Amino acid sequence: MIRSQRRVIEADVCIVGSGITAAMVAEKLADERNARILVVEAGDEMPPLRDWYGLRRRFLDYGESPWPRDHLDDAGVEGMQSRSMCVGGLAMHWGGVTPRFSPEDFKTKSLCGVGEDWPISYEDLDPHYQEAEVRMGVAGEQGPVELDPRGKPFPMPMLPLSWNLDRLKTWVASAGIPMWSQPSAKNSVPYKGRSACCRNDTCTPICPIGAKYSPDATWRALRASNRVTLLTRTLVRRLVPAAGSERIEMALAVRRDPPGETLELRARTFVLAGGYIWSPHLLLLSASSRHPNGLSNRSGLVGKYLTGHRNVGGYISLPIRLYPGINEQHSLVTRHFMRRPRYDRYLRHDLRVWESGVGKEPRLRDAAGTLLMGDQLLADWRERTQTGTARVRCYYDVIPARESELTLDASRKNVWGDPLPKLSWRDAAVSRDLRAWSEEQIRSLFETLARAGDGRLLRSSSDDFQDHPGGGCRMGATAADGVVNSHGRSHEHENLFIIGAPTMVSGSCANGTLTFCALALRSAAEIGQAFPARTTGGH
Amino acid sequence: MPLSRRSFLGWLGALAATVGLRRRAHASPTPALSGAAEPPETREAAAQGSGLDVALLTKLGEVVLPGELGADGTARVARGFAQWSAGYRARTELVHPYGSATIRVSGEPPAPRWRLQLQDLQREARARHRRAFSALTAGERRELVSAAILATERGERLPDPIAATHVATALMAWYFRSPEAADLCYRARIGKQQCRPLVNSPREPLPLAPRAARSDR
Repeated sequence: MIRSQRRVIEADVCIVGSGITAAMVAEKLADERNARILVVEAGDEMPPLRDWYGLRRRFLDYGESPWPRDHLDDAGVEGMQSRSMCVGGLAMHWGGVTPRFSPEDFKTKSLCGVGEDWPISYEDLDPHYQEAEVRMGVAGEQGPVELDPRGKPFPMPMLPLSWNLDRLKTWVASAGIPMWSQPSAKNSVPYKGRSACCRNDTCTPICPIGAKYSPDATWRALRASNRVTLLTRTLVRRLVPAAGSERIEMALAVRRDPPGETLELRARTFVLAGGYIWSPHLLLLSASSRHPNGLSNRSGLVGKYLTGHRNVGGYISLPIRLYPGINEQHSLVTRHFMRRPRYDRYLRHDLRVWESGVGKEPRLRDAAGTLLMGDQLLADWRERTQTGTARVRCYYDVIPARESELTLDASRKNVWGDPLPKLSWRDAAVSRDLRAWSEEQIRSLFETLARAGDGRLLRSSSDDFQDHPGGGCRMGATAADGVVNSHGRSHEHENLFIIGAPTMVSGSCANGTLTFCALALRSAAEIGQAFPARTTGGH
Repeated sequence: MPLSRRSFLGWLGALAATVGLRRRAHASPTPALSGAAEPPETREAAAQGSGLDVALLTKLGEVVLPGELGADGTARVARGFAQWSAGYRARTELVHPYGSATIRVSGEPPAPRWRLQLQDLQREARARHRRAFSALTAGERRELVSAAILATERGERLPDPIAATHVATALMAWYFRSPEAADLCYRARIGKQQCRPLVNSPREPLPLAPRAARSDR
């Protein structure tokens, strides 16, 4: 039970979670509005930038985590992507890859007869994509306009194509597929006080110089200027509506430090920024006699329609001299297969190409099984590296079933006695039926690419899990078909917003983080309407 | 064997853990490999911390490392390997596998078993040739080391050095999976995982300066 002795903290806006969408919303509100912003994070602070080179060194030398203590021991969930729960969240070790979704993603039902249309269009989101790109700093190359529509240019010049990628681009072009530099939240030039990328090549899990955007940069700036209050090691356990009203009156939280003080967080507006797991989880945990199925859940949609995309990857040996290691984490990308219908059944996917050392590593035994040491090993290695390898991968769109869901698991509880979430992923019938065929089409594409370059597909495989997960509080035009509206505002609690990934209707076939941020910034614009504009100008 | 995205990223992490990179921004050589970043007495102390006999490792290195390193290079790599071994920390949280909630921690330090294997090589040298391992010809050492590796390592791939079942394989893996070794293989200054100007990435890496091959084997 939550104890009755409580310390009260008041704010105008209370943001639950401190990941990348929380950082975007807090920064926008702090820039544009006069509002007291309280951010509540269950996890710990992460090490400061000055320590990152040393942490990276330990990662490279020994495989150690560069983000120790970035999770709660009692918050492990079967089927989750990462245990990260810390200041900055998952984006402390994201890859910094920032493609947009395509216009088709927002109207798959209208255009393709599958899934559901979003209540917003790509055009609605375009200015918020742009804002997210500016706030985090995205370096990108404008692709062919018919494939890559955007309202304004990227805020930074593209990351240059490496010597390797330039050759791989020529190869893919020979198959009739245009590719270009993958947009990335990595500085191609110094940006907002952060250095330009210098190809340390450990973007995932850690950029040692902060050239890749991570939310700590935003929190550092906001805290230094006293524009937000960030409470760490504080777990929000319940949201409580006011008596006789559907407005959220307070959040009840517990300090993770002894003696486990309970806090009563009161605010005019509450923003859930806990991602696809912890935002719906908190709504379900907040069930009461008035709301027996949890908050914002009269539709029964909280926790439903978890979404994402699967992938098929492969390695293609090519008769091209490549030098793996020039800039391994940067890639080519195309939206060629995301836009126009390319197949006679529903299949949309991206395509990315990287340099790779796979199949070209030094080895202990040759093909005949002979042991190699010293000069023999080097000679064998040199012979095999006269040609190169390309890594290829396609994310493909998966339409979620309603039963793709997060529920409370009464059999597993955290140290506070609250049931943990349980994830079950389910494809809608259309995606389930098309899965094998879809993956076969993508493998065929890899074979086509290999032939175009006189190369050979070394191997291909697909992951079973769905990447860049979202959903669980999907947006809908009405309370019957969504937990929130297109601004992330709860259909049932007017001062409650759920932002970013959980609100997505579907997961597209491209990395999702930029879209999570664009959606969050669209929410922030709406949230800000309740507060007076700053008269001193933004940052 | 298929390599999924999850296993690719796992592989990347494992590879990263083996490359022996110890570089700081704007400093191109790998300190443990080059010995450039710390005074000699510090390096020696660190190497001694592993309890590994660096002189013996150097003689081992002469048969498992490329001759192009030269005598000084081989000794430098042996010292770097011992220094790296000394820096290992047991029961430390490892990088999260992609797409998994699993938390892994590092195992027991490998140096003690490697010390025993070096002693085994000494014993075997005396048993077969009545001389210390260091006093054997390169051919005799190669024969002993080959037998030891063949008895313990089964796979085609160079293992993660921490997981290597024999010190000879660990030394090979530690070196050959390093950025320095990649440069040697490609005869080019790729400078993998070093801080390098972004503007240079479109250029073909410059060739390595030629080095005289070692003449003592």
